[in-house]
Amino acid sequence: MTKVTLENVSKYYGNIIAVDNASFTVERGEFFTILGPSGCGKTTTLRIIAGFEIPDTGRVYFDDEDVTFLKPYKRNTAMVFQNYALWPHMTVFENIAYGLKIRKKELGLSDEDIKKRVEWALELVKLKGFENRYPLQLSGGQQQRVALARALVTHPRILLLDEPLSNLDAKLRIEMREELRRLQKSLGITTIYVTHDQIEAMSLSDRIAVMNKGKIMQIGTPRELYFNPNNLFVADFLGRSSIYRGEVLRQSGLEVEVKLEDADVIIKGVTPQSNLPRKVAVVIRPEIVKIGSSSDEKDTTVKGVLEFAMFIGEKIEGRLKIGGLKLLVYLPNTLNVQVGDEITVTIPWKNTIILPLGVE
Amino acid sequence: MYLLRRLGRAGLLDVVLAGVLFATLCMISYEVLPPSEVEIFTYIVWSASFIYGYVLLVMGFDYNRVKYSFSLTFLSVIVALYEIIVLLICATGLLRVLAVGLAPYLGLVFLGALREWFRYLKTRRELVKEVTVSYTRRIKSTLHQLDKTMWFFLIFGFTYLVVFMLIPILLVLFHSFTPPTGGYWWTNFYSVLRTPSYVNLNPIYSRPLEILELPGGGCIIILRGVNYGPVLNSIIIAAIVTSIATLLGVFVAFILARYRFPGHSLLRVLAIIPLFNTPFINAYVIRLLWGEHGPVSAILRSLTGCSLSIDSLVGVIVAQIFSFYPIVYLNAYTAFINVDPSTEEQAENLGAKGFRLFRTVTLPLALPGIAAGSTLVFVFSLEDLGAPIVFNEPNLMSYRIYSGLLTAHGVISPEIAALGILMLILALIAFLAIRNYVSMRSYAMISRGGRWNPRIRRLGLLGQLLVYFLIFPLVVFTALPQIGVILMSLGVLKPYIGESGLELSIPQDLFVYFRRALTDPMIYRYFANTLIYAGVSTLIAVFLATCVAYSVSRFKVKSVTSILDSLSVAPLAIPGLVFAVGYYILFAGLAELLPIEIGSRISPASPAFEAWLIFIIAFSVRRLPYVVRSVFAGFQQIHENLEEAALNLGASRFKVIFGVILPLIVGYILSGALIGFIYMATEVSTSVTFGGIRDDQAPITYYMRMYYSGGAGGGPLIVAAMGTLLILLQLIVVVVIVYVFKQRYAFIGV
Repeated sequence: MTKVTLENVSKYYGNIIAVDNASFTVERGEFFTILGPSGCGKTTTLRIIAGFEIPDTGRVYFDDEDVTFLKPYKRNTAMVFQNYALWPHMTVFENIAYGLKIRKKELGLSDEDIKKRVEWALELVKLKGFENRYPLQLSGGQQQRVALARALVTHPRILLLDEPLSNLDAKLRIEMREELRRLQKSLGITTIYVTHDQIEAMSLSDRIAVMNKGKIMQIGTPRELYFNPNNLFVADFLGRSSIYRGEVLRQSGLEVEVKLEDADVIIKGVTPQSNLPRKVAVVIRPEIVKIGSSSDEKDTTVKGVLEFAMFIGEKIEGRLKIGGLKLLVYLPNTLNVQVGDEITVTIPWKNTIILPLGVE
Repeated sequence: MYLLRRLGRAGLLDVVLAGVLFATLCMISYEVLPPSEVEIFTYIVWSASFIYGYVLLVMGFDYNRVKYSFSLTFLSVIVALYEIIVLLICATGLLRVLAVGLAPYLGLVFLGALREWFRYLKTRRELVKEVTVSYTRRIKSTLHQLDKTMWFFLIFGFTYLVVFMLIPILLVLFHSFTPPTGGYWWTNFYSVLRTPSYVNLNPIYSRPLEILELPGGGCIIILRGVNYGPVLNSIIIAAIVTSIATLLGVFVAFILARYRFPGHSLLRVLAIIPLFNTPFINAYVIRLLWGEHGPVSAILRSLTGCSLSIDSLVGVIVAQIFSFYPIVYLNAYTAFINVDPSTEEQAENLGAKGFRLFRTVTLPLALPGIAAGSTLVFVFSLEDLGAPIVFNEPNLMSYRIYSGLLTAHGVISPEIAALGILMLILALIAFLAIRNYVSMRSYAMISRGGRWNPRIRRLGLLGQLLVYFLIFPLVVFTALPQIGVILMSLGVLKPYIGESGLELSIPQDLFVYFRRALTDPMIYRYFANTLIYAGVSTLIAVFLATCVAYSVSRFKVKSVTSILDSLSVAPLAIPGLVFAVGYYILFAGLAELLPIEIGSRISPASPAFEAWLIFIIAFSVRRLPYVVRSVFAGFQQIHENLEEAALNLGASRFKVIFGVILPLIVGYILSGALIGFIYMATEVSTSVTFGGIRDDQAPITYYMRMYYSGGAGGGPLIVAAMGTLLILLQLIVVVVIVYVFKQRYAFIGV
């Protein structure tokens, strides 16, 4: 098991900043995810860790060893590519055995050992009996498993996964997600996973780094990020929310009172930052909004007209018009409401997040 | 006043007006000024006219209009070539008036491009300031990509190309500046460009067409062409051949790409036949076909009572059109197939149809491909030796260089070197301009990944008549030389001695000439030589192509890879004769530096000269672009992740390339090797020049050159048998590439 540390890593392509001064540490055996929209530099970060790119500033450490300039084939990482990158002219067995054959002498393996290891890997990904097929004979999910087996068979120090599930259909993706989690936990291998899918990220990871425009915005457990985002980008990117601009009226500790810009409403909420600027954003997740009024006087109770409602099975997604504001709400699927109805809702102050504007 | 009024609205009209104005000024000066002052005055007008292009830019002519319009860019390339030629040969009279008239446009384009480039540099410098990466880190980042294998690939690729391509060319350049006794450094160029033996604007004997009355009644029309001196002849011929071949090629390609009719496949096969390269004998057959007793003449005689005979320059033109038009045809065919049909459908949907649709949508989209083919024809026509030798036309640049090489006894006349440099410049300008132009406009291929069915229509009655009565005969006619070669090799078609008559008869033994060609120990040696040289050169070229193509596609330092890339395609634009001159100078120079026992073996002036060395080097360099293109396509086919996956698992670059990647693209490599091989086997320029020095080491094309027209027993018939064998070889290669490797066999584009 290996610890991975990035220290002030930047990478430029011409004048485009792909990675901007990123620093983080991935603990031994941790499942760490880099999450961000496409083009945010997450794949570049992964490629820097794999050694395909050299960072323009900063250093990369595996445990205490500086690997910044080490060639990719000397790092003993194993990467699973988005397009699987299986060699079409080799069978499943040959594909998986490749990494072992390359290091046969170094690891002191016999042909029999290699065979056993490949069998072990195939069993791990539940593909026994597929040894002699060619990649093109396999389905997308099976190819994905072969790619995973090829990476795991060498017992790498670090497993690197570049959006491995994005080419699978929805059902298979959920299945593979669980499988990946199970494998990673049972092998205890340090894993760095790159994705733009927040559900994947939250369900799989021990910790997540959210990235935007090359910068790491926040690092934390899925819960921390979701409930306590410390900047607007993370709040907006994870989950759904209504976001309003407002002005701070009063701040005491982490409790804030904000007057909204577009409506005559005063909202109380909490903030991770003790010294907020005057202009702030108010983030309200739809699932915290409750129907009816509240006994807690700090909660905000407002009346709004249901402008739009969509029945989506387990709930009704609705949009309330409150003065000049629009509030996203989830209503119970048993509730009988129609567009145009007036509804009273409560916004609990403990779950209302106030963040500084400007820092995206 | 006028300028002010048009400020900010300058358009093409203003360019034309300016041109007319300056040209008129020039014309008036001819009438008004004394001759001594005309010269200097026209130069002033000329420069003013060129600079006026900048005024037009300032007035608001949008340079992007030229940059993004296909016809305007194309026009500017042609104008540039024209202006350079007029300036070089110092032409006067109407030629210069026209040049002055066109100068504002050229000025506009040239200065516009320059301005844009400066602006780009400026913005780039500003942008670069934002991001600063320490130099050590940059160097480390570059070195990171350079493991042992990459180092070797880059160094080997660069060394081979620099030593065997760049240095010989530079030697020719230096040599061309060697002054003759009492001359200046520019004397050679002066004599090549300004003396009547090279450029003759007022030919004394200028009768392109001559009608002779025959004593026994009837008459004979002889087409010769006007001799303006070798330099102008070459340029004019190249221009004429390029234009006609382009028209013909595009026409046939369009019909074949877009229409289906009974006999379509047959026509497609027939249209490729002229591509089969059979040096000398091919032009020889064309000469017979168009000679006094050939079929063309017979048709004309039955119509008008006069026979026809083509000779010298006109003969070269006809022979080259027939040999080179399939290059345009194949490029145009691919281009038409690759035009996204939805763009045409959209145009039809908006109401365009027929020729308008073709002119406004189809042709512009296919033009980059067509232009690439045309450029190759231009270069090939300039450097062609076969037709000039067969039609016995020494007044061409290629022939002059050739004879200059044959008569060089260890030292090449600097004048010949200057001629070679001139030819190189002309070819390079055309090539670079078009390459730039094509790379900017590869939109025909934008959605190449998607498979679509090209638009195919049936022909109407009129169209069918057109196809069966015009195109079929035309295409069959262009295929006649190759068919003639085959018939000749079987002894069915016999030329009379004196090259005047033809006879068709079925002999008893069809294969007598093949047997002789293959059993005669003398001739067998030429065959063996060719196979050995082409084989070894192919191996070298494939290895070199792998080094170059891999480095270019994977090494991410743009300045290095773009140089390597340019070097590897450059041989397409460098006439073979320039290579020949370069190798001659290189080896003669080396021989002097080395001790006598080695020197005498590599000196082209000595009888012990090891000519095979030059053949192998020349073949491998000259045909490299064909191999590189194929191998490069292979590397591009492979997603880089496939390679990274292996690197990631601990394989070194060497193991990745040779263990994973090359096996994947073996089809591309073998196709490239095969294409390279057949072009090497039919190489002419260096073969016939160096073959003469050691004819026991000469390749087969040298033999064909020596004996195509008679000479020792059998003459043309045996050469025809060789030609047929070459056709067979090429046919096998095409079939293998298309059906075994499943690649498209297309002539190389720029």
